Amino acid sequence: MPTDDADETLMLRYGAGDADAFARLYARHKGPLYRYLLRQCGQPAVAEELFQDVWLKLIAARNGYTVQAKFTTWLYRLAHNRLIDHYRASARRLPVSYADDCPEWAEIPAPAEAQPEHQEDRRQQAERLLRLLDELPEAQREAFLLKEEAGLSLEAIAQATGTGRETVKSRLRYALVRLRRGLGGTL
Amino acid sequence: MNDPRPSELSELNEIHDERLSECYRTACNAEPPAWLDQRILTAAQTAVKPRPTPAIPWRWPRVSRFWAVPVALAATVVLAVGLWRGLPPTSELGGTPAPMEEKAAPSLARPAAELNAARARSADTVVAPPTVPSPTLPSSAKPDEQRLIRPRAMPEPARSESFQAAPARRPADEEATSFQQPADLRSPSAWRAEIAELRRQGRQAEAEARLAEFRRQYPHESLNEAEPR
Repeated sequence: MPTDDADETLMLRYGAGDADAFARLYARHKGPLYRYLLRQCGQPAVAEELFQDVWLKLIAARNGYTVQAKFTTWLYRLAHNRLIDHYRASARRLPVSYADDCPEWAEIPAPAEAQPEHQEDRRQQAERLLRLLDELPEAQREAFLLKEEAGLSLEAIAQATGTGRETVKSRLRYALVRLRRGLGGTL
Repeated sequence: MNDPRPSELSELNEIHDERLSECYRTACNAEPPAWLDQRILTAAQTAVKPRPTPAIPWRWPRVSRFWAVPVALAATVVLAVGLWRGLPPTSELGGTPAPMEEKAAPSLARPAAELNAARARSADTVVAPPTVPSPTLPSSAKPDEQRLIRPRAMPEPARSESFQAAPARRPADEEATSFQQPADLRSPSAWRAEIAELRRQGRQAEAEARLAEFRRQYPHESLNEAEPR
């Protein structure tokens, strides 16, 4: 049963005409959603466009919203679909990592320049982590971001991305292996 | 609260690294720009804001209905006056069929004259009554059938009059016809001469009728040329 402050309740209130409920929802989810899109597309301008599209789609769907799943799952489902549309419309095709997971990618060593041999502070580690994240296959990066940014469970990530739970688990596992290896055990 | 089973713990370790997550949270703190926040919040508020309806509805249909009746009446009057002024006078309309009757009269009168001549030549034989030859219908046809078979080009009254009146036309009728047909063309002096001749012959009734016709044709002319006009 959703509480008064739950995302689902706020969305239902917004559908009934309460603009303040939307403002609270937006404040709660804007950062994670923006970072998810920014990490996935790599360009701030494109991320802003996709971010706006997702929220406008949510606004348009306010009257038909029903609580069938977690609000976060629904929001990131919208974002995932918009991202796939972006991949298909852009010059590059849909990343192959969405079509077929490649376990071998986890075995590929990180670039030599990415080896953090003499990193001393956490900021530098963080910057390296972001670069490693950019080098991940899109599907693995998406799974990582949905877990870290949106806090979704394996099942919720599977729902949001339209894949199976085991697939999501596999993507997450390979993503963590690559990131750890890229950071060279400095964590 | 139950502790996670070993399998679940193993799975959690596979997909979660707390140190990695902490490093990521340190690294990534990007936020959408303020202008984008403002734009989305404005769109959300606009979507649920009730749209004001105009207090006074548009009155264009009522204005149209208000002017429709006077405009229609004015158009009707203009059309009627235009048609009335464009039509020829009644006298011209009445005189139009005259040439056709004049053309048809000799051809229709011819059988009657021939019948009279034949009747005179065979005076001792029994003469049949002057029947009108019907060019298209057999004599055995019933009146209803004749009406149905009759060609449409010729109006029924004119046709019956032309076939039946020709043999029975009297001299007085012919004389009246001779007076009537050129009436429009004659000059006032011709009218005066004709009326004077009728009076001289003692045909007062005909003279008065012709006088009335003359006055109708020439309302500003007097019968006597010496009278002031």
